[in-house]
Amino acid sequence: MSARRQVRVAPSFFDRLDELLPEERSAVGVPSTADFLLHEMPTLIDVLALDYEGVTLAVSGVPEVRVLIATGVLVARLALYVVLGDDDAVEIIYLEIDAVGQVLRPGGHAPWCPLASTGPKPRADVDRKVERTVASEHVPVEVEAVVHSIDATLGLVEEEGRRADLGRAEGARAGRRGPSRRTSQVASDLPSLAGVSRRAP
Amino acid sequence: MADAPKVITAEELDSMSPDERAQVVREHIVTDLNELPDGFRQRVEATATRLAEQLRPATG
Repeated sequence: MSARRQVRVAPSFFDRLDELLPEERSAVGVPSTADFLLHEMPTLIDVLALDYEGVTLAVSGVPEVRVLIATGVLVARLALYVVLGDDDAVEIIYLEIDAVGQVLRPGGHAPWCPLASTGPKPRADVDRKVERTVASEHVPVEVEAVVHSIDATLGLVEEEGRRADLGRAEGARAGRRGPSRRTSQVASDLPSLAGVSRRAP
Repeated sequence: MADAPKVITAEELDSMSPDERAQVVREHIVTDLNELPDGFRQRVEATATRLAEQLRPATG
């Protein structure tokens, strides 16, 4: 297996996550944005770093974008859209979630949700962000260094390190845009971890 | 194929160790687009196409 790749998460991903999932976990099992960032994303980032080509799927006629699809964890199905940067880093640019009829966000349903009363949400704003941020605004997320630099007793320290990296990524984004986003609040609530090494961007 | 998969909830994941959670996520990664219901697969393909169209001018 090849060496780990750096994985970066674009602001457009966080914007999309905010569109799709609620701030708070629901009583019927709909996960929150924090659930998704803390429970699912660290492993997805790990597998992308370790085996980008093995875990992503090519889409016919679209060589620029590959897709990682997972089913049955937190949501029925999810798709992470990724591209390779000039430096061979993996860049996560967008997210789709298939909730199979569940209302993901009260008042802000996923565009395909059959329960949405207001029809599809305009995507132009997010689309513009994708176009803009893919070129220049990616936030580096380095997760592998956490594993070897800290005593990961029971895995808790490692887990916190990954949370901290996601938090830093979100914090960096929030610093450019102001603190209004919900995921920015999530990131600010994450524990910081002294001594976590991270590759300079 | 079109059936919704059983979903492991956040509450269930809370009760797992980090390693168990990682294993669960890895086991649920799809390796073939044809395993997906038609509707979701078509949405994935359409979104990938749309994203690629946006990327092309940006990357020259």
